[in-house]
Amino acid sequence: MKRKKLCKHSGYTVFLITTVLITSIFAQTQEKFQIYGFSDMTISKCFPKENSFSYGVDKMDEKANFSLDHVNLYTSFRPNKHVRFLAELSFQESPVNYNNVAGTRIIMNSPFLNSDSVYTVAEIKAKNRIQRGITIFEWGSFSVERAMMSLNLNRYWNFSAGKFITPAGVWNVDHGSPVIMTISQPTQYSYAEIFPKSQIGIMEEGKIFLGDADLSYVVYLSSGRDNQSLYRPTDLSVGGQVRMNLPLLDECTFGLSGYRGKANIKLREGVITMNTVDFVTFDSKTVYEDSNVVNYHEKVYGIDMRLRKYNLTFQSELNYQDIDNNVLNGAKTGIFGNYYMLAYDAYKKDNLTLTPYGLFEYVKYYDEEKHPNANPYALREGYRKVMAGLNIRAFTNYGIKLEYNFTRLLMQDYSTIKRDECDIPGVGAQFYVAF
Amino acid sequence: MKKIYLFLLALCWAGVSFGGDFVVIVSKDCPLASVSTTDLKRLYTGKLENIDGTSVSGTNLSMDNPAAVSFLSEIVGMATTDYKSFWLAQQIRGGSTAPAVKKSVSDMISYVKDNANAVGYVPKDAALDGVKAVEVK
Repeated sequence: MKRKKLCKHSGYTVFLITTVLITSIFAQTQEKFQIYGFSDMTISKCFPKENSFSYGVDKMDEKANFSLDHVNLYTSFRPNKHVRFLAELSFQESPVNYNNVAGTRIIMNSPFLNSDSVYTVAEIKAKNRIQRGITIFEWGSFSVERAMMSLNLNRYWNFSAGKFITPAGVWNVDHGSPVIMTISQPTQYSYAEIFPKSQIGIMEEGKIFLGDADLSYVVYLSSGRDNQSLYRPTDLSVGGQVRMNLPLLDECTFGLSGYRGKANIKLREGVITMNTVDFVTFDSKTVYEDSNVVNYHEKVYGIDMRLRKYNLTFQSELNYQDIDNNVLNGAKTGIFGNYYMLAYDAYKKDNLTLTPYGLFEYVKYYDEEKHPNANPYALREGYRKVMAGLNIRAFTNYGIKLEYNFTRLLMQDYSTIKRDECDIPGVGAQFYVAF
Repeated sequence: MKKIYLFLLALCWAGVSFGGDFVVIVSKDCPLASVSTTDLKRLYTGKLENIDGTSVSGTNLSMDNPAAVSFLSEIVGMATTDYKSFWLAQQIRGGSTAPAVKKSVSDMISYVKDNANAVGYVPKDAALDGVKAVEVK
């Protein structure tokens, strides 16, 4: 017993000594604590036709909207060159969990039946209810984008633990408005979220130099999309990314990303059975029963490339999500997303860069009705989106984006929404700053 | 034949000096005698912290210094605007920290002189007091 205690104590001692050594021996003169971040504000306006379905969706209707989309604050603490703690907090002006929903009044005129539902039920409807890690306030929202502790041993072994942004493609990790060319990320990283945006778990990353080429890799183990509960060790999600930077052009990078995970949300009910022994004594027994609300396996694959030469940048990502929906007896469904962006630095001086850009995105749903996140009232084949505009950057840290965008929803054949009701043109302007 | 030798000589000279207006420097205590352009590029883009077993950290001159413009263009392959954008992206990605910046050549020389693991660069005509020049291969 004593020996066991001793072992326990010596374990702590070794841990403390290791920590002290790590945080003191390699102490550097560089800045240990840093605070920085970025912020952006957007003005947007859509021009839907009066019969368009988007007339009934807040912020996709004809009203102009001002929105303070992000105030992201980073805190980095690096006591020495081997240890780092990084946290990124995001503040958003709009509440993330409420959305105005248009009411519907149904008037039916026919030789057999005339009716008027009379009442329209416009409501403030909750959304993002199952999204975890977000604290909701009436005036806005706050989320921990990432918070991780990293131990950098050498070029090959760098371990991190905590909440991290999924290493997938180019613009999931490079998610800040000063870095993204367009006003918003491609929808496959936001609305469709083919790869999970962030996860909680452990990660290992490193680099290998192959001649003049650089190969970087990341592997991770996590609790999966939306931080799932783990009923079994096999519920852990796993993923990774490999990126190859070749010494060609001004920039030539190719990447492969993958993720395999399981979503498992259960409702647990306590069933209490009470038996009367006599008039004053009861014998009760409680049994807990689970019912599957969401249960699916998913595999996500992605490839990306970024090429740059003569001030011309080409960037593309192709991502595919393959789902076995176990609630529907393993029904197959999935999403394929791809985008292609071309940008040209038409004017580049030390303090001002003008970059016209164009981006085309296509997202296709396979059997959307079987998708766990499908909206049964608006099933789509997919959608196409075009964004074209001008990114004006001043002094690296400030900028304005002026953009025209057009979205065409591709509805399923039997949908009651007609084709001309599915187009959503719009314009937007965004001011961003990195600090 | 003589012309070929002259041509090869000229090529070698261009390879060593890079024709740039800068000299790469380290402290006299630093064991580095030469460094490849690839390693220098990796060092100044946050990918490398160790050259030939020696722990190193890059240091930049202020971006308006002609030596900085020349060094970034010839070694890192970026204009100063692109280099600043690169480090902004690194910061947002949560990557490594940008190399320290020294405002003047004298600041750079005294910093490198006092830090055995610092790598810097100065204009070609600067007096190398307490530091040594490193051959760029």
